[in-house]
Amino acid sequence: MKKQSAFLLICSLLFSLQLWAQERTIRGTVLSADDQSPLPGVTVRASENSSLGAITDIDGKYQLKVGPEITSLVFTYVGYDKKVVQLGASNVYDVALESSSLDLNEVVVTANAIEREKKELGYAVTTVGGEETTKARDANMLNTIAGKVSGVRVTSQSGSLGGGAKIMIRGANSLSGSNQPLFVVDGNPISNSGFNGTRNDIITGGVDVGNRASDINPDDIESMTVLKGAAATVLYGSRAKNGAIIITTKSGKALRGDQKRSSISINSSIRFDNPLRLPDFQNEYAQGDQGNYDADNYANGWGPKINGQRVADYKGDTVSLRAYPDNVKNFYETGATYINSISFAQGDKASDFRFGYTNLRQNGIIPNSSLERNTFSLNAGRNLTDRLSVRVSGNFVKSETVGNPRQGGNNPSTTVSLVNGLPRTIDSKELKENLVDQFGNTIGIDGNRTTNNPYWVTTYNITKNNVDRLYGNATVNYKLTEGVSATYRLGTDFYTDTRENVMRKGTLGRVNGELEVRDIQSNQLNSDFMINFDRDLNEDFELKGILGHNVNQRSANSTRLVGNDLLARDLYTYTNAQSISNTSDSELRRLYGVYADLTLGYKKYLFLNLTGRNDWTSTLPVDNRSYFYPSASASFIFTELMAPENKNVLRYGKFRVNYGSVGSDVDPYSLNFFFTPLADAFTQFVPNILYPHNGRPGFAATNIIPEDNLKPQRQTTFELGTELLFFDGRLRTDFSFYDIRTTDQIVQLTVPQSTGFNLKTVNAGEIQNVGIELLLSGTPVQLENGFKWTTTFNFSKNKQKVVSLTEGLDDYTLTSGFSGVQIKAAPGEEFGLYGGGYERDPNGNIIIDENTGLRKIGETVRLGDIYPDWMLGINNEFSYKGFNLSFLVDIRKGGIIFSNTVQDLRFSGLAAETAENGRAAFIDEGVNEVLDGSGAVVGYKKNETEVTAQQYWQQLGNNSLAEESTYAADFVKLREIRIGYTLPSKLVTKTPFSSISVALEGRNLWLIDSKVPHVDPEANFFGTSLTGEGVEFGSVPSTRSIGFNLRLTL
Amino acid sequence: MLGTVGMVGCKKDWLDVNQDPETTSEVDPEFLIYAAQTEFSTNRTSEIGLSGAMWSQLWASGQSAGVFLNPERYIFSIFTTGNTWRTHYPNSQKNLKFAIDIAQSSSPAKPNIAAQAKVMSALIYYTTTILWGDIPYTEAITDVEAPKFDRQEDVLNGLLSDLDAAIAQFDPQDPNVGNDHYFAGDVSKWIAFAKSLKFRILMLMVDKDPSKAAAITTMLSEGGMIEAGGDALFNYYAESGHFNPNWNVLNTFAGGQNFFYFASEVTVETMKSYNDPRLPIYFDAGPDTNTIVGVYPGKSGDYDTDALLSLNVIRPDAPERVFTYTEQLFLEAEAEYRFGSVANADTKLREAIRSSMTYWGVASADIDAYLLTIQPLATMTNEQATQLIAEQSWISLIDKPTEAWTTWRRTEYPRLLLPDGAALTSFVRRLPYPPDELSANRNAPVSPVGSTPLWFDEVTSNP
Repeated sequence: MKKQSAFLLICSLLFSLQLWAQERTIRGTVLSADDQSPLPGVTVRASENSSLGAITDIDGKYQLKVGPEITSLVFTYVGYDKKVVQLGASNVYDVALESSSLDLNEVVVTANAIEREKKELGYAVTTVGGEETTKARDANMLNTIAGKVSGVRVTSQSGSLGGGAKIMIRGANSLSGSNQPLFVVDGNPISNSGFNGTRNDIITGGVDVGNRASDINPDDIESMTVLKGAAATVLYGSRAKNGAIIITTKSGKALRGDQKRSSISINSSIRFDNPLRLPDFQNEYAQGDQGNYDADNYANGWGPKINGQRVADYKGDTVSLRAYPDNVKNFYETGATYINSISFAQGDKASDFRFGYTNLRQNGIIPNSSLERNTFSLNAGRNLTDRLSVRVSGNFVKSETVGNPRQGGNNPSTTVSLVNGLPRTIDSKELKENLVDQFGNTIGIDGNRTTNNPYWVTTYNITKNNVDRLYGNATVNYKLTEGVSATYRLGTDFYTDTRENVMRKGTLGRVNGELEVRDIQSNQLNSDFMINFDRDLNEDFELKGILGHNVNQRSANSTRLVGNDLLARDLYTYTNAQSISNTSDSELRRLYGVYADLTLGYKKYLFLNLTGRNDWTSTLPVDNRSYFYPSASASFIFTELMAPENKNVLRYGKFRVNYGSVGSDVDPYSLNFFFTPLADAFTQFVPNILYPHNGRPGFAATNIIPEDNLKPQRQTTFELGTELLFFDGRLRTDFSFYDIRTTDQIVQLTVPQSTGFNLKTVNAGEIQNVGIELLLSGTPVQLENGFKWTTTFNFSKNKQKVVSLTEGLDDYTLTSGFSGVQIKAAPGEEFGLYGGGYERDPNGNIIIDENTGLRKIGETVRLGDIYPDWMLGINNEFSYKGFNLSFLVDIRKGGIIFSNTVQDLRFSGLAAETAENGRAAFIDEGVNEVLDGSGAVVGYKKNETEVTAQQYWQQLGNNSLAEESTYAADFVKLREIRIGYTLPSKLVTKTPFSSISVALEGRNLWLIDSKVPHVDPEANFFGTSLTGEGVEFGSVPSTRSIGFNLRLTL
Repeated sequence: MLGTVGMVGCKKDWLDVNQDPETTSEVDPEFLIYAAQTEFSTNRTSEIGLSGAMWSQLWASGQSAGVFLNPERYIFSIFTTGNTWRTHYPNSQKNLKFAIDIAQSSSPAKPNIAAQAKVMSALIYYTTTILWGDIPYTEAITDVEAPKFDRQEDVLNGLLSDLDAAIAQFDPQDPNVGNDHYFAGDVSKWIAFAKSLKFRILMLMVDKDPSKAAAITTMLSEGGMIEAGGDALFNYYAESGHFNPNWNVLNTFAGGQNFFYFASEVTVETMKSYNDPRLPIYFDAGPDTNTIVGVYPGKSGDYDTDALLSLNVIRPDAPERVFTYTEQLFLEAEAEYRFGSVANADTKLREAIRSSMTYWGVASADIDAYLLTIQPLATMTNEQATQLIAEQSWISLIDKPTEAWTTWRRTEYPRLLLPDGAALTSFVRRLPYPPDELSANRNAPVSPVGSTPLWFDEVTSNP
């Protein structure tokens, strides 16, 4: 080898000498085709093996003297496709390199900020670059990976500002808890809690306060690695059993080098939002009952046909009746989002530094709603000596949200339900100007003043949410000897979350006003000490590993104050409330673990990885608090054994397999019996009676039977998969199959209340999730002129099954909403939605009451699975020179959704379909029961009893009938679209900038297909913390947004 | 790094943090009793009270709100039944059981506290069984996973023994009496209340179990039951956070005006038949009329012409009257009439009416005049006397729906009206069991149709 090079060197020298006279100088700039940024360090040679060459400088510029026999130049750079340029008469050749689809030595960041070559990993990993999270920005960064990673499902909870996004990887494994993956930023686990409160808080006027992963600023993300299996659990413990999202923030590392280099980047985005979908309303009928006009008792659409007749309106004014078809649409405003960020980065030989600041300002589609978030991020590292290096990474996030609406039911201020319930004859513009009458009394949308004007709610009944958060870590690394280093990392995640929801005096249903304040403090400390080693044992064998020790402490304190019967108007202080109910909660849990992670590599194509971890937790009984969990995985690059000439089609192939078992603990304080001082006594319809009452306190014993012998929950995963690259990387595929079983689930079973308790904590039940994931990515077209079309399919299919519960238990209620709608687990089934169904005859015909002509409502039935059968994300990207067009289509198939909005719109006669056929009475299709003398059913006959339109629709919209308002949740959505243009460097050189790009970006532009009427099939009112989906209840409409982006790099 | 080592060094203590700092393992037993009294009375006022006022036809909804119209039409909310069951068992009976255990095992023992808890427990079981009939009792609040439902007769007999045990346990010499909501720890009042409760249970049982007549006669002669000034009251106050919940409904939804509780045709017509001076105290006539007109159950009320309950009855500081001297007198009047002397019965009845009228603020002279219109019981047929005592009791119970409903079920007086839009073909006589208990307890029976009488309920006349 060496000989040959020497020979070539001599030859080329000879040539150079001989042809001295004819040589010329070729110049040019090398850019990245992706973002047109200059590429420093690119090798430019006359031929691949030629030593004659040059390297591009920091601005991507090169200069090379060549003789006339040189007819082409070869450009090569790690991570980019090789490019050959034919030389002509010109002496200037600007070249754009495409990032490589054949990066066989791709490095990924696995858990704990440890970098590993992807080829040695025995489990499924997907890396999403920072450019994906900023392609079409969203206030919650999780939404930006929807449809981009197979096996990962992201569900936006509502159109609330900064609203929650639920992420689920490979299906729900647990009967309790949120089933959310662990979030890790720069090696430090952070909280993704929403602190949404109890189920009751969420469903009765709860505000979607989002989940804390949304604090991660997309503009600061370098890359995001999704570990789908339990691979991160060895380093983070059982919290990562549902997968982990490993985020690396941007740093100045790329600027490190012999010379000091700096970069300033400025990014500015503006976006406009409007509701993606609003209900279809009828516009023919006024408010009233049975066709008679009544503006006092009813806010609905069951009155007479609107015909210009003179009537008294809701304010008592005489008006000509007319319809306002856009009254709901006009209520919503055009939302606007401004995201401005700037970052400074610098690197030199021993250190690097990056500071970023991002300001996000958002005005929502709901009047008077806004979000402002300021993020400061710092990432800096320095080599103190040859052996000792330090790095700090920190983020401070300050968010202020105002005016996000209350959702759900049983609350007088649920904005969206009030808006959807507007009679068709009320103009929203007029409503806005009529909040109170001349005497200062509140005007409702009915004359009797029982239903609030939605503008009253958005003007006065303000909700606020302020979050101040600091998270970050410091890492010290010491190189003990070649290939062995010690790392210590201490991280924290601390935040305060303050919420204030008020109802003004005069609010119908809270005439005396209400003040609710919640203060939450959450604190997490994480310490890791690791010995890392990487040794070549001999020519063939290599050993890598980590020995580590982890300490984790999480604590949370919250207080909640509800003040009732306010004194002065518009004053929301504790002393202005005549009564205050105060409750507090605190929680502390601790855990430490020791772990080992060993990888044995053979000839760079066969890798075996073994891990083991033992945890000691504070939350399990002392005898069961220690538990061990092992895993094994293997990776085999079988193409390495093939002769090079056989690799024309299959260029690269890897087979991987892993098996692991994870134990996990329980929430704190689940073991002991205790008494609690009570804050209040439940009081139906009105604020609770407070303790102490007449000076007398109240205490009560716990309502949950503790189990003092709980065992750790167990989850075992088997996974196998393959990664294949064909045709030099033009086609690549990644396939996984997995089987996850969770046993000894720690659940709270319902016990008969006559035992004196509501629940009992036990180990019970087994859940299985089996699924496949398939990524298929190809470049169908790649032309010499630079045109390139890349298409990617992300397919995932998961089948969840509740294998068993516990003896004598037919089903287990995971959570429940109103209208008897429940999410339950039943053996042999997926988690399902249950609710009231129709009574049917043995042939499945709906039974109709012969006397009334109305469909009969029967018992609670299983309505369907809440989770999809499969999902598919299709991304297409076209690029040509500086232009780039990409769009993402997201498809969901299977699962169901219950919509309370649909139910209410029909009950109230406002939905478009309720006006069909001129509201003529008709005979509904179905059967009547034929009874014998004793009243027993002996047969069925065709129904012939007439029913009025109002009775019919009010029965369909009956609160105890969930079946009618339940639909397949399938959808096809145009999730993202981006058209970008990066200015050619020729133009840029005349500016102070090194790169300028502009883009048009859009999110959720088009609901292409859905089977659900009136609402977006993706809504969910259980929020991110409850194991419930498939229920929509007065949710804020999701938004469609479109906007512009400008990026400048100095 | 030192921190880590430190943490490991003291690992044993470091992990011992699994005690919720917001809770305690020790509690004064009387605090558990105070909570049970508060929970029980609040549920009896706003939950069972408001629904019960409608289904008993003591008040009328006038269709003012679905939450009142539904029970009036015998459409029972699972929230009403579920909240009440939860109030009775986990929120009250369990804590009372702990109160008994702690009071008896503490050193020195607190017999008066234990006895108070036993009386409270009996009071709540009595309320549970008059709503549902057969209920978990002997196996309730034990380690039994699925407590069986005992027959109502067995429950009631059990409660009589429980009350005897409690009465025997009270110790007037022991200074540990607590400061409970009903009697501020007054032992003699507690004993009288326990005896009155026993008397009420015997009166409930005697139609089906005539052998109870002997015990009734004995109690009549021994006395010692609730006396004037000995009412068991759970007080509410004209103070935010402590308002009577029924008044607070008006306060929260209508700024203190009554838009919800209409006068019932049954109550108004019954009172009119006696020319009762309490009529304008209980009710406000509609602004367009001087006549007090009740609303037919299940029908729509007219704010201009129909009467509404007055703010004399619905007051922010109206107490939940658990057991009153008036009720004691009505029970004694009925008992004397059936098992003792008619003359005594007549006296007791008149004392009962006077007691009620005095409570509602009728002038003494008007009471005297009214009593003159009441014929002596001795001149009446059995049926007439029963009707008189029952209807007078009904009228006095305007703020006590569950008692009024029970009086009606025992006597069938006053005559009720089948509600407009009723979901049953006859009057409601029991509640359906709450779904939570039915689904979690494999020993729970199927709920009979709501018009099925409970064990004690001898249906003597056809409505």
